[in-house]
Amino acid sequence: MENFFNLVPLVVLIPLAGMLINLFAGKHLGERGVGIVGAGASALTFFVAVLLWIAQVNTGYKAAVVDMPLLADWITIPSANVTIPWAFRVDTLSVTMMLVVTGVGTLIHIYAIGYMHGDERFPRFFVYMNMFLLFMLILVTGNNFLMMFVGWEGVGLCSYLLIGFWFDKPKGVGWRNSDAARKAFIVNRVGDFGLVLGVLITFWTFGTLDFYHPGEEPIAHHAEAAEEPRLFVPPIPQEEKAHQPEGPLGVFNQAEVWLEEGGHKVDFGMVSLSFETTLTLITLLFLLGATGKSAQIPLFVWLPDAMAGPTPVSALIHAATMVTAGVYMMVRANVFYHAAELTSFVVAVIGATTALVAGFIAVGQWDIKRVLAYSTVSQLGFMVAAVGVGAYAAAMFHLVTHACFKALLFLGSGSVIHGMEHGHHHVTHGHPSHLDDDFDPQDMRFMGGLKERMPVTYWTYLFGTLALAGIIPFAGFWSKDEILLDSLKAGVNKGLLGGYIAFVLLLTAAAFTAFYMWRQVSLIFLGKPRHAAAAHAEESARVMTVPLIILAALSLLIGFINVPGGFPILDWILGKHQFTSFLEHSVTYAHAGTFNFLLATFAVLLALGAIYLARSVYSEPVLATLRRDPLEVDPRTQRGFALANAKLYWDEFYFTYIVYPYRNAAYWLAQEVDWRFWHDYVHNRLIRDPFNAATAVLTWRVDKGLIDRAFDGLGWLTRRVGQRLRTIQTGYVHMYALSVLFGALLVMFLILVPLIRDWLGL
Amino acid sequence: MGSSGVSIELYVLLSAVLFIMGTIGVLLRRNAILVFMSVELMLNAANLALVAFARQWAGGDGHLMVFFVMTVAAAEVAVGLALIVAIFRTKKSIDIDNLHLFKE
Amino acid sequence: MELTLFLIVGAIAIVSAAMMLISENAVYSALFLILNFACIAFLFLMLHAPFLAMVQITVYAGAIMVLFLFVIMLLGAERVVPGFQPRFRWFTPIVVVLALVFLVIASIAVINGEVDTTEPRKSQPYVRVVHVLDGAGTLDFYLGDQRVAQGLAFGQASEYLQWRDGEYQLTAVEAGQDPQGATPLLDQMIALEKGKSYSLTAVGRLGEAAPQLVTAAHTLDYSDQKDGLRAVVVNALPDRLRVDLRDMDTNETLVGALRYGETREFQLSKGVRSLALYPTGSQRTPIAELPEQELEANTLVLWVFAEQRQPDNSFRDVIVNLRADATTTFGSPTHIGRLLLSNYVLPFQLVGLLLLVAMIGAIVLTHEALGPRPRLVRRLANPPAVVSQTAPTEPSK
Repeated sequence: MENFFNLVPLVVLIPLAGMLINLFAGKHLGERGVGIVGAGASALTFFVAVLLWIAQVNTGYKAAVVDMPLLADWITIPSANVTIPWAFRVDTLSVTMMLVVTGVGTLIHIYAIGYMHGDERFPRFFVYMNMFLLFMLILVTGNNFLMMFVGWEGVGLCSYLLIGFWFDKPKGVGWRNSDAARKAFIVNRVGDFGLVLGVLITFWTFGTLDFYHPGEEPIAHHAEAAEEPRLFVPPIPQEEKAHQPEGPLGVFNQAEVWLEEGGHKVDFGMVSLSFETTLTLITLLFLLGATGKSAQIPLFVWLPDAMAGPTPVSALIHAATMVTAGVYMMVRANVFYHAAELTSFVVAVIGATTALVAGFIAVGQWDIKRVLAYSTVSQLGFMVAAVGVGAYAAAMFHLVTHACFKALLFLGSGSVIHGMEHGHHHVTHGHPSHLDDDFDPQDMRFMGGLKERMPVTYWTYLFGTLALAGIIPFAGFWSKDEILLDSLKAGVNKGLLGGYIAFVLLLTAAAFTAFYMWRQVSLIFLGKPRHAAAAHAEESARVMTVPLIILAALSLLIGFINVPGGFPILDWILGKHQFTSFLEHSVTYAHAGTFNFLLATFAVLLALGAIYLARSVYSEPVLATLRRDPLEVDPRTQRGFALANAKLYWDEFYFTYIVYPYRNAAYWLAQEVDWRFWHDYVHNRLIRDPFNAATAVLTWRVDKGLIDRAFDGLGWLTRRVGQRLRTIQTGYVHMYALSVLFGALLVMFLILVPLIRDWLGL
Repeated sequence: MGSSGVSIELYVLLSAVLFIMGTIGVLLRRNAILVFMSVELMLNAANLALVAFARQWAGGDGHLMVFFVMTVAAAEVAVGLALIVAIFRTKKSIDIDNLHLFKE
Repeated sequence: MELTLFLIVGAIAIVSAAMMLISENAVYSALFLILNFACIAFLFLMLHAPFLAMVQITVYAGAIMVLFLFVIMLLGAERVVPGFQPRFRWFTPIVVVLALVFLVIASIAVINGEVDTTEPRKSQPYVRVVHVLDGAGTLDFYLGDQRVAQGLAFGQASEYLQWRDGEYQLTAVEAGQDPQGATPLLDQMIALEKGKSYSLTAVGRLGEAAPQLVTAAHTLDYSDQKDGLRAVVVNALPDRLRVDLRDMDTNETLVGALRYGETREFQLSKGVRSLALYPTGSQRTPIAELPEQELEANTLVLWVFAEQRQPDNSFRDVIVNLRADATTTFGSPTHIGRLLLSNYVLPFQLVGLLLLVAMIGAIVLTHEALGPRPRLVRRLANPPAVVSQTAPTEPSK
């Protein structure tokens, strides 16, 4: 089974192959061929990921490090003793990510075949999608921070390309597509700047970037609580955990060793920091990266605008996978975060605040995808907060479940948009004149009553909504409950302030989640069609609905992979926290949560209450005549809704205090400093003009006057000499023979000179 | 050994005389074939000197040299006569004074 | 006598060369050149170069000149070109002056040169070793530091090697042993002189008669003996104080009372002879025989009388019969051939290659398809008028 690990380069190579095929042959393959290649590459990769998972299970969850063929010595600088191999890490964490990325990715690829049907840049779309898979898999499989960074930047690039995929589309709601793409890219740069600094400091501190060197097992410097017996997953033998590997250590084990020893100093030239402080610095910088990539406060502003891209992109990149990279990265670095308490607090607060803020904003949005986008930000906040309170397994668990139901919701929204466009097309075909021009297929105000027109979409959407709202037994319940419980436990058991804050904020955010989701369901599907397009909307094709159904099933079932211990009956049937046990082999500080009946009941009731509230607000009669949101009309909630609708003026804040001042400064620098001072004065006046004067002298006096004359004279001389010399070359053989004889005689004479001298007595 | 009576010097002098006669032929005759034959005469004069010196030094190397000179002369004659034939075909003349194409 | 011959032949050579030069008819010229080549071939003979003389006649005067004649006749070019009508009037005097200068310089070189033309040099000595050392196995022989023979068995002689003259230490060791480390079986100083060939015969019996070296030397003489040959004998029988060598048919004593370790050289007439070895004074039973030997004229043989240990450890006296021609006759085909195939293999191959190239070249040059070509009209160099005179122009302000 260990041989299976050698397959891991395939998870990168297969998408690469798919990308290259579509890139070079996409035009000739046709939509069908391109779709098969793209989705097929994804499916094959998923198959490989499943094989790797099976191999993991059957080899006792031993992590494997596999070198990329040909790239084993990726970066080697012998003089600086730097070796960064292009090595893949197969452990439970990376396998989990691989399964999520490729599994959800495959379904979305299939869906995209239907969704992108008829698009003039169909092959390009799949090239980008496969490229995204390639980089995402590099990100999650890399065994060092640099590979992760390569993947990190690569997915950023793909995100940029895909958000701006319809760059030529006229401005709709919000930002123009190309501007949205640029916004995403630039905001991400801020985060990436933090990440790359963190990686550099990590390298400075540890001298390596490998998570663990090959053959190295994670060590933990204090044992977690006693393990409960497991049904399917064998327990980790205690002696194996205590085993201390020899030789150079990867960053995490080295960190453990130094933390254990204590008092380690890191020398930064001018300053010397204690190791703990350095870790705090590194983790804060990593957090900056994570806020960029995973759309957390303060850098979350790009994600809602990123919805300008095609819906499969939103589902795959901006909901299920890429935006979770930050969470993955922090879970991967759980050893650092576990040690850095200050950072953990910051992480928890940022995550929880983001969850609440985004949940609040989502309530006031009209665009179907924007609601989902803020929902994604909110859920990512849940995950980040989970990392902050030390619930790494819960974060990963929520990542997995969220990937399923959020992908489902996005694809469902895509299906709705598709149906609406279809209906609009149907309607305008007959009566092009009498319809308003400001129709927007994504605006929920034009929808309503789609339940009858699009039943499959409705039911699957409902599944996703319930999962997101955290209703038992849907997936979201299990993961959200675990996060809530873990944050509460972090507050109560460990006395962490961050735990309390996170718990309160997250609970509120959960209520908001349920509310805005039901609001959305009501606006889209319930009631009567409020627009002719909605009345003529049609269910999407099978290629789109089948992935929806599969994802709906997953949204229902995926939560059962991690039933908390103590849950009645189910924990006996399915085993306790299987997923956490699985992750524990690679995530050192993953720990299993228990089940708190009180909290679970309270959370579910809260969600149900929020749904009930939404139901009463968005009741059938209200929906029928909806022009403005009931909350907007109601004086009690008017101001709140306005704030939410205006996204808390977050973008405006950035524009006023960052973008415009920056732009003015840049303008001043460009106009005054660069152009007038530097260009006009320094360059033109001080450099160019004297230079021109000098070259004029050199040209006319020196070059033309002296050098040219000299060479002209030389040419003239050569010509004259040549003319004289030509007469010697008569072309007659006898002449040449005579000169040979003459020369021979001369040589003979010279040889005989001493002899003749003797002879003559000289 | 000393009984041969003819001094090597005489051979060498004869060789020199023949050589310069060959040279005169090369320089003064205009018939390409004659020029060629004069070259052969020069080669033979040189051969004579070589054999004489070989006799003097009691070594076989001089003989070998002569042997090789003969072989090279054979090759030279083959190519040279082929050239003359080819030139004659184009110019209908073997007067080497007519061969000054490069000058034109 | 020889001088007269030389003068006559040389005169013919000069006259024929002159005739070749002044003949208007190319055919006559060629015929005179053939005569000249014949003279040179005769001179080669006088210079003891029979092989070259042969080649000169067959290849030069024969093949090459036939080729010349063939081309002359083929082109019909007997008289197409006027004789001495140089293009420039000053040409002929210059050539004559230069020719005289050449002759003067050559005369100076020959008469006053450092070349010692009075007496032919003697060649370096030839040396070989003969192993008749009883009781010893195969031996290696060293002359000074260098090995002359390797793994020589009893009764065998090594090849002749040309060696520098001087004094050398000859050592014999068991085959394969290091000459520095092992105690030599034989260790003796010998002097090698120029113009001689040496057969160094290791004689004696291990343990009883001290091994010693018998040096049989003879001059490298080229003088022809039309029906005679020379023989060298060496007595290597430690037990026989004196031996006689007789012709069995005529009972003529060829060598008398040869002591142990002694060597002697004598003349023999050619023919088939049966030889027998007797103790001096005894007539009855020969101690060794050498029946029915065909002895060729102008050769040199070496007979070594030695006792050979039999498998049953008894001894039997034998005559070891060895040819002793150190060198082939100077200038003979054998001599040239041996040199060609030893020292001059590479030049020989190169010359062969050259001939091949010449052959191909001749074919290519005279090939019909490549035949009469249009006159070359292309200019091969730029005439001065073409050189551009464009002056640099000032850029407009």
